[in-house]
Amino acid sequence: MSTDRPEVVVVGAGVIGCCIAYYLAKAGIAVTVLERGSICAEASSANAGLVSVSTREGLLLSMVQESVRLLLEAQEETGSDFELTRAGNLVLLRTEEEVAKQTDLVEKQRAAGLDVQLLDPRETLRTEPAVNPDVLGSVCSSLDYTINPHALTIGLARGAGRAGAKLRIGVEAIALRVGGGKVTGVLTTDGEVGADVVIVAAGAWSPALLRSIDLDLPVEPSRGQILVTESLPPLTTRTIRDTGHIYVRRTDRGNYVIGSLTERVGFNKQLTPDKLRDYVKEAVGLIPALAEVRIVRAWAGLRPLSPDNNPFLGPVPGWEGLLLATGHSRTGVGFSAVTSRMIADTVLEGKASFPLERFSISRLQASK
Amino acid sequence: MVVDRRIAQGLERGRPIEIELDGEKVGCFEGETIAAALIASGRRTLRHSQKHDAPRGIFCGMGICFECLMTVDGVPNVRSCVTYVKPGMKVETQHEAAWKEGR
Repeated sequence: MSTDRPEVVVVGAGVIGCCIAYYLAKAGIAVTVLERGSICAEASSANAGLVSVSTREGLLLSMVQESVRLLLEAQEETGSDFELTRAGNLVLLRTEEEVAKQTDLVEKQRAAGLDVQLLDPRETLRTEPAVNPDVLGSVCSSLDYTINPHALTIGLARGAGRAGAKLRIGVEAIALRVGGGKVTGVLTTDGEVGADVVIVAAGAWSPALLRSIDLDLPVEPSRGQILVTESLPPLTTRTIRDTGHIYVRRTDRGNYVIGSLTERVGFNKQLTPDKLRDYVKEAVGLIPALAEVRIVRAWAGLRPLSPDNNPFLGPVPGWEGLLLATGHSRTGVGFSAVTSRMIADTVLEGKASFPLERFSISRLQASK
Repeated sequence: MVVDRRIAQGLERGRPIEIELDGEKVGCFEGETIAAALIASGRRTLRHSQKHDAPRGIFCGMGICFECLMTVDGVPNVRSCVTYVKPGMKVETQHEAAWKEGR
């Protein structure tokens, strides 16, 4: 960026905004975070905190591995317990087609050096005795982590605050202020805030803000509903999932978190009994003993869904001083640290350790 | 020494039975809740909390506060203050701090 020590405004105090603010404030940058609601209020809280490693390949695999390293580092540095745990994954396979498909995938991953194994039913039950005995097999991995997304986001916000970041809670960004092809600040519900760099990390609400400069960002809200059970003596240790989007994750306190489909229903955070019933049915199908367990809470949030499920990161052609860090779809918590590091490095050094072009807003036009 | 804290006179009790608390026999009467039977036998600690492993006992006594959770016949988190005793019922004190690890 052009200015020597730029003033930075981050829009959104979700996990991405807080993590970017943390990295920038630590580097001595004057950074202000604008948050219309509260910290960790939307997509950052509507997830189970899965940091899936074994399901990735190529660039995204390298990035999530770096993210884990950075999360461990931030946990150490902030002194906050993110409950980052190498829990592992067990994907249950229930049809011959699933077994065939996963057999190929596992071979590929093993060839790439990942600790992923295909287990037969007997081995599956020996590994996790509480899972449904009717499985045809499973994919077991020790590479995947879980994290408490609230502890993470709040820990990063505190770390950012201690390093000098200003968190303005209850202040909504209404429009970007521009002049001469450059972003100069943000109009908020509490007046104007000048900035050399504005970073949009407003999740599903990012397109609304970018419309103020006639930029069309293809991010839409997608609802995810989450259920949590009472705390229980351990039934399982790993995250148990199907080959689709349903997972059952044990928290550090012994609650089981059940989620979550991608529901494209607009800006609607209602809990719906039909979907919740599907979640519970599927979860009990994975771990039968859950049928007897109390559900203590359910909630929903809106994830920022992008057309290819990858985030929009980095500069916007034609607009100096504007950086995107949004559209993480279902991967925001897992990729929080690495994508935030990439954005912070762009501000600090003008470059990032992974190719930003792959996440540019231009990528979709290019592929057309 | 086990002191019986029950009212001695003027009310009709159910049949005397026994339950097991952590493997130890406890005499009580049908029609009593688990929590009532245990407190009558001088036991005030029903579980140990998850965060600080601190003792917990009856608080509301009417099923809303969830402080009196015990494991009953293998089922965790049963509210002992609203669950009646049954002959031979196996009741266990919960040590919830141990649930935290479990990996």
